[in-house]
Amino acid sequence: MQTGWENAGGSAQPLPYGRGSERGAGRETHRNPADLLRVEGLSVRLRAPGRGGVVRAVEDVSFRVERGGRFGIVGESGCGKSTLVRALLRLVPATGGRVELDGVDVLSAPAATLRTLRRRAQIVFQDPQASLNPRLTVDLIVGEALHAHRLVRSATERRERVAQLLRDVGLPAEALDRHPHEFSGGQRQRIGIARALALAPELLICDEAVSALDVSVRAQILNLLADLRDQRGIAYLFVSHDLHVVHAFCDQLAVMYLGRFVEQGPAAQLLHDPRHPYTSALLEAAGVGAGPPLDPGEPPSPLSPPAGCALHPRCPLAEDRCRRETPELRSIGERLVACHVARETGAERGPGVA
Amino acid sequence: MLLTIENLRTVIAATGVDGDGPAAVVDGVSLSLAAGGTAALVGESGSGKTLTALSIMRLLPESARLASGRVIFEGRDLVTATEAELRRIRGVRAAMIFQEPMTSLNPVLTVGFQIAEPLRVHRGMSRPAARREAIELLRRVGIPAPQRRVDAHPHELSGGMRQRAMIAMALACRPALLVADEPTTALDATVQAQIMALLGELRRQTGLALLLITHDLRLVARVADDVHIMYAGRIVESGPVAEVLGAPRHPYTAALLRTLPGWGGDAARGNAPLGEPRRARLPVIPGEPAHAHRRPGGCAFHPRCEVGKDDARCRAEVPPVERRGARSCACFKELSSERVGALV
Repeated sequence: MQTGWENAGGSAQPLPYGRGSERGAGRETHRNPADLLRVEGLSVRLRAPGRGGVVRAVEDVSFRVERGGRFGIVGESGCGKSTLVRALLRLVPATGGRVELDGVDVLSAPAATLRTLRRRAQIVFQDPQASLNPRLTVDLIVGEALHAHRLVRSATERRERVAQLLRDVGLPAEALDRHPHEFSGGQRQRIGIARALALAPELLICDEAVSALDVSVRAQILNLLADLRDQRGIAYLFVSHDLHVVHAFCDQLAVMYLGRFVEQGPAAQLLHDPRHPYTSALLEAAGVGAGPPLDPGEPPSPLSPPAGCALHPRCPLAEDRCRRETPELRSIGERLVACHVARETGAERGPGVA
Repeated sequence: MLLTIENLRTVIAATGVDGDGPAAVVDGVSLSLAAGGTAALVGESGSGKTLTALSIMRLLPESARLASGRVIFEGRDLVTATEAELRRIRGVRAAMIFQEPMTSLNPVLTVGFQIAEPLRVHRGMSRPAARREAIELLRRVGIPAPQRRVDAHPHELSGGMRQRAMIAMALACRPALLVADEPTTALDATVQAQIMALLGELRRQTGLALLLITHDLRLVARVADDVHIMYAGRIVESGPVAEVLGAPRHPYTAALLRTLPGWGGDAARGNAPLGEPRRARLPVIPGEPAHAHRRPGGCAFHPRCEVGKDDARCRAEVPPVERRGARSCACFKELSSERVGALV
C-alpha cells in the first residue's frame, strides 16, 4: 500500500456504512460517456472523538468530472473538501450516495475491483514532507506501487520505470537513490507527483498540492500538472483555497461551505459573476473585489451548524427565510446555486468582470 | 523616523549536515519606517525575512548572532541596548506577533491572564483593573462576548480568535511599533481579510506603525505603503508599493510578479478583477529560492535571472544598493520600464 493511505482517515471515527441522504437521486442527470467521475448525493458523517456528536462533513454532494477535465473545489479549512476527496476513493467511508469511476461503482466495489479503481485515481497531498516516507529512497517511494500492483518483475525493471517517471516530472535520474530530506519543497512535490503517476492514473486528485510551495516554485508545479493533462489527458480534481490558482487551472468549479456545495458550474462564470454571497465574499477576501464581505465572524463549528442556511449568521444578505429553511441547489443558467436570495440574472456591472 | 535599520548583519553558526561555516543570513539590510506607516518585508522561504524581524526585536535564537549594524528605534540603538533596556522596550514600545499564535500563547494560562500580565508588569495596574482592560482589549480586536472569552484557554479559541487574542496581547501597552511575521498566513481567506482590516483600523486610531513580514504580494499591494523585497539575505529592491509593484526594477521582483496567476496591470493597485484565465503556461522562475546560508557568488539571484545569468559581472560581483529618490535597487541590469514591458 502507498504511504498516505493509512493515515487518511484523520482523527474522527467514521460511522458504519448505511443509507444516507436520498436527495441526490432527485438530480439524476443522464449518463454522459465523456464523464470519468460521477458523484451523486455523496454524504460522509463522522463521529466526533469524545463528544458524542456527529459531524456532517460532506452532505449531499453531486458533480461530474469529464475525461481530461479540470474540476476545482474551493473552500476554507474545515469545510469538508479533504474528506470529500478521500471518500471518493474510500479512504474515508461514505455514509450515503454514489460514486462511479468510468461507470464502475466505487462505494460498493469488492476489494479486488477497488484495487483496480485506486490505480486509476491517485492523490497528491499538500505536504510532501508528511506524505513521503523519510526512510525510503525515492526509488522505493515511487516504485512501491509498481510492486504492489505487480507491474514490474524485478528491481532493475522498477529502477528503469522510476527513472523515466522522475524524468517526466523534471527530476534528474540521480534522485533515485536519495532520501526525501535531500530535496527542496518543490522537488519533494515532484516526487509526490511521480509516485501518483506511477500507475498511469486517469484522474489525479490534488489536495492543496501547491499551497505549501514558494511563489516562484508554485508556477513550475502548476505548469507540470498542465503539461501532464495535455500529454496524457489526465483529468484533475483540484482542491485549493487559492482562487487565483483555481482561476488559472480549472474549467469547472464548486464552492464548498460546511460540507455542502453552495455554488457550482463553469469556473469563469463563478469567478466573474458570483451569485452565492459566499463565493462573492471569497473573491472579496482574495482582493478581487466582488463584495460585499461577510459580517465579522468565523466559519461555525461543523458539530453544531446553524439552522437554515449555514452561512446566515455571517451573510450580509440574510433574510428571515434563510434562518429557517436550508436552501437547496437550484439551476441558474449553467450553474447551481444554493441560496434563497441569489440573483437569477446577471448584474449590470458584473462584479469581478474586467 | 520611528525605526531606522542600517546595514544590519546577522550571522548564523554552522548549520545542518553540510557543516557550512558561519554565514550572514541577514546581510546589510537597511530600511526605515515612520510612525503610523506600514512597511512590508517580502521574501520566499530562506530569504532571511523572519531573522531580520527577530534581529530587530533582539529575539534571535542562540545559533544566530547580530554581527553589525544599527537598529535605531525611538532614538535608541537596540543593537547595543542592555537586557534591562530591552525589557522596557519589547512588548511595551515595540511588540511582535507570529504566524502561529498557538506557539506563542501559553496553553496553560487563560488569554485574559496573558493579556493582563504586561499591563500589571509595565503599567503597574492592579489585577481587577488589568482584567477590565483585558476585556476592553478583547472587545477592540473584535472578539465576541469578551467577558466570557477572557477566561478561556487558548485551545478553546479558533485560529482567528487566537490571532486576535495575540494582537490584543501585543497591543496591551500601546506600542508604537508592531512587527507582524506572517500574521494571517495560517488563517482562512475571509478571516485573513478581517485581521488585516483590524490592523489597519488600529493603525488609524492609535498611530501604530506596522512592519509586515510576508510572502504574499497581493496582501502587500493592499495594505502596505512601502515594500522591501528580500532575496537570500539581502534587500534587492525597495520603494513605495505602487511604484515597485507597478514598475519593478529588479529582475527578481519582476519575475515574482509574473509568476502570480492573474497578476497584471490593475492588480498592482491591490484590488483588481480577475482577468481572462490564462490557459497558456504560467511564466516561471527556474530553480529554487537560494538560501542565505548557501548563497551563490556574485548576485545571489544570477543563476535564476533571465537578464543576468550569463553576465560576467553578475556572476562575480555583489551589486551594491543604488538609491534613486524614494526607490532603491541592487542590480547591475536594472530594468527600465520599457524592458519590464518586454518581459511581462
